[in-house]
Amino acid sequence: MPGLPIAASVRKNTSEVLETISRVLEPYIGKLMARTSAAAHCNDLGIRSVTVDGLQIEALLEKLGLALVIFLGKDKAGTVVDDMRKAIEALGEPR
Amino acid sequence: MRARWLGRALSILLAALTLVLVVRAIAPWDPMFESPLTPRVILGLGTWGKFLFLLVASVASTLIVGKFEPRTTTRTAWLLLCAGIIAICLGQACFVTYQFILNRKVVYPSLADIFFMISYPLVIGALVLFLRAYKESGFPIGPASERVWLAAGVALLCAVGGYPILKPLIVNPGAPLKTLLNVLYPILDCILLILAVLLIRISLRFRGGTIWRVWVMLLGGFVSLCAGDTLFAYYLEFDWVEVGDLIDALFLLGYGLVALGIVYQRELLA
Repeated sequence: MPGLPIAASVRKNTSEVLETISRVLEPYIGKLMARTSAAAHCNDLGIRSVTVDGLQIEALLEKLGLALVIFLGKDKAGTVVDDMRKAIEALGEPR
Repeated sequence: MRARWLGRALSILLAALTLVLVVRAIAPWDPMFESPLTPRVILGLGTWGKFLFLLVASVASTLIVGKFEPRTTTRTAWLLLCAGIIAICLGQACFVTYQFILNRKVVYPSLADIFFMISYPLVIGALVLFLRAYKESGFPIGPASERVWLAAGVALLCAVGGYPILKPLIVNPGAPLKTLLNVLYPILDCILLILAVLLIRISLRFRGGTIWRVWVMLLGGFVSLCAGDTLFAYYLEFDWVEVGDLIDALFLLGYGLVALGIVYQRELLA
């Protein structure tokens, strides 16, 4: 069962979000690929500001989820995306 | 949990069997190869070992296919790979039947070669689709130019290695079927090797992760099989009897690594 999307009004620090995503992805795709792919997908979406909102985070998670499906299948990729979502939600408000 | 146990057990078995075959290839005069490891025992370890790895790979790959969404590139790729591995497994089952049920020497070519030939287009098709899927994933897998140069390099290496095998066959062909197979095997192996090396290069970008482990095992297995096939061609062409055990070790290692890669992929999807 996929988790609920992050509310659009939520704002998080971009670098903290990318770091969190990398941390969750690392066991599957390795440290280097986790960092570069999170940053590359972020770039593709035109996210360049210091903070990101819920919609941008969801768009980023969707892109990463689609990439993971190729290697992990839909169910497992969905679980990994949920783990990323939960980890991002646990982050504090941007300072 | 079950898959983790299976992966460890297969790794230990593969290491032990490969070690026995490599030691025999290096020191065939050692007394232990007179007893208890008689030629019949060695033949059994190799033939049954390869069959076991292929059987595990066939079952595990069948279970993997259903984990991917219908009508996707990855599912079709896994389906083709699964069919290819089943074909190789049937070929190996022919060897088991000849050597341990009918107690007959395997002739070349044999019924097994029909299955091995069927497996090539299936496995090659699977690797082409995996390559496409890797590209479509959106992960940064490196520039296309790098893949072009790498493919050209491997093709050149194959041409250098394949020339001594193919030239005598073309200049002085033997029986039509045997000649056809002797020409087809190295060519198909070359295509397989190019694709495997390209995918290994891409997989190296995922090093440290579980995906990397799956692909390096799986593709390393195909590289080992290509090496075994090439040595087998030299063995046939130039009577290199001394490499017989090494060929067996390479095939065993190849099938074992393919099985391990597939078992780890199954574990990853669980």
